[in-house]
Amino acid sequence: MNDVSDATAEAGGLSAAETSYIGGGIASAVRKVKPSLAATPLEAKTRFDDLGISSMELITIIFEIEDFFDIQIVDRNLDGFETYGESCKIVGRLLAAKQAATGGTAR
Amino acid sequence: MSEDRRVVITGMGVVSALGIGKEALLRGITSASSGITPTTRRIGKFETTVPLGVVPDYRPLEYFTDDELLLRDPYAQYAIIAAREAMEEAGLPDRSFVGERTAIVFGTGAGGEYAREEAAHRFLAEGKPRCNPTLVPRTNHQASVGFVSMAYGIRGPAIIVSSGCASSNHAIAQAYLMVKHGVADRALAGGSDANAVYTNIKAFDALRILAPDTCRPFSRDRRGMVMGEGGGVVVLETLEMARARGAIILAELAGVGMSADAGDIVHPTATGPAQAMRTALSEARLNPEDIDYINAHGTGTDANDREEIRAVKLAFGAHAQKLAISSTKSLHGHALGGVGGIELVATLLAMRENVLPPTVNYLGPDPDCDLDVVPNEARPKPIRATLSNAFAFGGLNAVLALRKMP
Repeated sequence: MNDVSDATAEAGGLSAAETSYIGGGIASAVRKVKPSLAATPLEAKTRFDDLGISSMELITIIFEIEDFFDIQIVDRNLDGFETYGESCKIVGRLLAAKQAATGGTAR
Repeated sequence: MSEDRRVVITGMGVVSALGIGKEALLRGITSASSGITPTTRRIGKFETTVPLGVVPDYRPLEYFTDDELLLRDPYAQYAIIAAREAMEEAGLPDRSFVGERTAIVFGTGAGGEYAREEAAHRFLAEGKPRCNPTLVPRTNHQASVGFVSMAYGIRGPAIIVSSGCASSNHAIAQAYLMVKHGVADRALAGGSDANAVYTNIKAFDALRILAPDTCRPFSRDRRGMVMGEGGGVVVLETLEMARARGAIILAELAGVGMSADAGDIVHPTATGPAQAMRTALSEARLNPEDIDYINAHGTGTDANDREEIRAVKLAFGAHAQKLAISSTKSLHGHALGGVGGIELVATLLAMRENVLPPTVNYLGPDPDCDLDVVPNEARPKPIRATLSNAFAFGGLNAVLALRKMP
């Protein structure tokens, strides 16, 4: 998880707690949609297609992530959802942008 | 397309309020014990408790992985489970199996209603702006057909038929015509529904046709239908192919009859169903006197049962007084688009076991329904040929004619 935390932190001024929150939220979405991955470790470089996640499952995971974090993942951000680490970065960026826009915390 | 071949049934599978599988259905038939029970359905803060015929103690993880359940709404699960049982009984796929020459035709009235109701609640009650992407593939009526085609590599014609309560019978009729005329050599046919959800119960209740107590077709003091869930699937193939591979033949699907009342959108008539029964007999080259048993549509509503009995009298004349007609909906409820599949399996079991399925919950005769409705107890009887009726709102009728093979 450290490399994920580092990657997420790079995304823009989020605290350690917030990066852990992002990584955990994304992992929960993955495992909610595909429960057979409950015991599969997720690392930054882990590719979703290598986990046998179909395109239908991936868009459902993205829906769960949007729902959980109350963000919208569209356009270029959507294309970046190939690895766990990149997904954490994207969500981190979107949460930071949301935080900047609202003046509150990312959570 | 010009071939005219005899079509037989070599496998059957069923999911109903009497349990998973045909032996559970048979136990209900022979012991005359109904699977209808007061059941609560809820969504969010809304709930209702009514008599329903739902699959008892159903645990999806016994039949599917967690991952598979993401896209399979209960109606599709039931079709898949029934198809597995039918394929297993038929001994398929075997060396004679050719995916491209095999068809699937299933019926459903409503498709993935659980997903539909959950999404509606999410949007309208919870005010959520986003939709779960699984909604479309889960609610697609044809999902059941797609999943079964993938499970077995069935690559011939694959379609879903939706004609309400006649969906399964219409589907079986289309599959029959495909095999008979050489479009396919074999077909999985039947249907399923699982739409006894809160909103749909309310919708049927609004029509004032749901019984507050239970389903008692053809009985005095009957008060309406009871919704159910489940489905049934059979394997159809040519007689020649079944004999060549030494398959056990359950019965010949000897003919089908389809008609429309062209009358009223909800109120049944006797003439449309009578025409469908006559057509099925004629197609099967059966005389009215050959029929020992009719598995009735028999919903338990005042109008359906009265008109269906009139229709049998119109189609059968004097023989109507000699044949037996019962409604197994009193045992498993009305699984709407799936019920024709369940009732075909019930009829095949009746023929296999030479037992007339009972109409249970029967309180006594109604002068409008004065035929032998096999009240309350199964009855041993050699059965040579049968009909299985299904009639839908819109006045759409589909009747299957079955003949025992020597």
